[in-house]
Amino acid sequence: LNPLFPTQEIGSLAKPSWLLKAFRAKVGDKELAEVEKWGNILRVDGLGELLELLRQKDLKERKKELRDWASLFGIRFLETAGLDIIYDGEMKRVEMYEYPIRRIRGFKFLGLVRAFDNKYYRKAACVDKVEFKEAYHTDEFKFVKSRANKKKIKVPITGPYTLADWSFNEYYQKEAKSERFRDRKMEAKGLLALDLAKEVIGPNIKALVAEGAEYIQIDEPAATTHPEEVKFFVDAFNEATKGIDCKLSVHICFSDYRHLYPHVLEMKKCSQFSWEFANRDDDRRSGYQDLSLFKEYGDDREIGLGVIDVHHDHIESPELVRDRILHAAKFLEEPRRLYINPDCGLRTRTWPVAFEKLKNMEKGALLARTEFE
Amino acid sequence: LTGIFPRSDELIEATRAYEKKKIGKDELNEYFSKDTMRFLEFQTNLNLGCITDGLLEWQDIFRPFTEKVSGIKTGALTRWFNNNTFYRKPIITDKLVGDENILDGWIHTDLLRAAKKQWKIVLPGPYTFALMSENRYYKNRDEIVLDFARMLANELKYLEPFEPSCFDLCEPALVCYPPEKGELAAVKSAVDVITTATSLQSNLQTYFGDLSNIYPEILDFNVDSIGVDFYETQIELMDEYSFTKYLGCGCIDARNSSMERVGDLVSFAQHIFDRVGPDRVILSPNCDLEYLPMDAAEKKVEVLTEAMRILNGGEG
Repeated sequence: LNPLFPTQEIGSLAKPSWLLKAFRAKVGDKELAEVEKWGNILRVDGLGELLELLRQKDLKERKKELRDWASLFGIRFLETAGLDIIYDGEMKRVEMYEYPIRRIRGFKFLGLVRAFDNKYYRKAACVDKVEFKEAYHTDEFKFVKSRANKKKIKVPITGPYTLADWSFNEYYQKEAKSERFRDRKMEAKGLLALDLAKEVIGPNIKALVAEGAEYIQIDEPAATTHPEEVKFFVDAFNEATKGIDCKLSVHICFSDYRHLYPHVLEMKKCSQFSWEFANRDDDRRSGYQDLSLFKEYGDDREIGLGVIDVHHDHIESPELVRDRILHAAKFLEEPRRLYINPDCGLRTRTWPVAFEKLKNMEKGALLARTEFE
Repeated sequence: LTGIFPRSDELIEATRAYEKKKIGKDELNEYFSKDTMRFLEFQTNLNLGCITDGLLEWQDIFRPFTEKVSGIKTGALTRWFNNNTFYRKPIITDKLVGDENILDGWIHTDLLRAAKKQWKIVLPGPYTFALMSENRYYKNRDEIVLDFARMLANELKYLEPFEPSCFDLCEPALVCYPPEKGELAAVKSAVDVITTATSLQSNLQTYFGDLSNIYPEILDFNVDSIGVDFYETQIELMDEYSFTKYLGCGCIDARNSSMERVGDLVSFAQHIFDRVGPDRVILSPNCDLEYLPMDAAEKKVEVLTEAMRILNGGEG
């Protein structure tokens, strides 16, 4: 049985500067010092071997080794922070959209588009029918599994609807039959999401399960972007998870969750929704008001409770984390349904900030557990 | 063009470097000025009728106000309509008072004047601002709409000596979440407060939604022109009532990478001319081009200007 309020990571961490530097230029003393500092904090074995590697001249040919090291650092980062369910901070993925899209046939990258503030992502256009090229997360998962000290691993994978929504859609728009432009655009989105689910995400999930994955998180931050298309997100999830036998959760963030209902009640295989709440919270705990949706619609699945704001450096105190958990637990009256996580991936925070945030999340969960039990 | 234009890769890289403290504010500002000058030159070379500075520093359409107005705090990252783009929600904590020259430093008035072309101010509309903000001060939304409008009126008075020729009020909410009947009068009054404060030509820019949601009521707004997103609005709507304003014809889809064909644009524009009259139509993208990478955005503007050139009998 899980402990009460198990803690879990939810997405990516920032790439360490030594990794980025090694890909671009020579690693300097500053980066080597960072390796030593974090390697010691995280008790990474074989640190000398990595330092020796980083001192070599041409590292462009050694990318795989370097990524393995970064993955190991990511695993130990989450383990050392104390989380119950871990991955590797997605160290081998450039980003949650670009990484999979580069490994799917039918897309062409066009350039950078703003997500928010000064943050941009590389956006692609779907220019042909999408096809499976390779199972792009299995090697990464096998590595995590082989190196993790903790047994509980959750594999995040970007979902089909989000990949469709975040792409320009040239091919399927030509295929769509609706007369009116707006309807054709929407029909095309549904076609692309369903093809991605069937041809790409489903096979990827199957490959992960075949390698022993027991818990997979499907990231669908775009799920409510177009309220009228929530049914596409639901259909794509159901298609991608056909015949799959493992624990499945869906992560959605920075969204109006009211649009999800009642459609998501049809997602029978999704045992957990993990949502962002802390970003919108205040002293009155008003950030957590959408928990009422679970009650209103009789949705009794688990909830991954976002208790850490990922867009500010302010470190939440353990007491604040505790209060957020207790508020949710009391409101839901079923504390065992709660898993504790940051709102989203901590990739926009530095490692020191992310580490302190996660450690306090762990401490807060412990405080809540003590109080509840 | 309206709204925010995409940044170049070089400028994006500079903002990243600034955030990592690798370059200072002055150096970053040089990158912004350089990109702005390049964008002004791009528009001038294409002979656009009225140019903008592209609002490259604005991280969202409300940003100068969330950062500079004392009665507004910066709130949570929130989805911007149905886009994969997020804005900082303004939290209204005190009365909105507009005597601060809020846009000082946010519009490149020097570069715009130096371009020696007609230029345009782009502003968030009062209704969209009120709807997309969190209210912790006012009794109702009407009061926010009116006070924000007064603030914009002050800004226009402040900017008028820099010799702009017109301004846009960006009002996607008017067509996406139209005001209820009881609210409409306040929104109209607010727009009136803004447009009567200045002699500049005014454009109410609607996008992301269907104009039929507020049609024909929008024709009663005291503005010179109305921008319409024709990727959301059926052209036949123009048949229902006499369109008494100038029409900003949003015929380039700024949220889609498929490149429009010049011939299709010309043909579409001619259908619009038949309904509204050729002298009352301004061709434009349907919304901010910032939803596209910069290269794609520029190509679309080139297609648009080529269509304009043909429609003007080859004279650009």
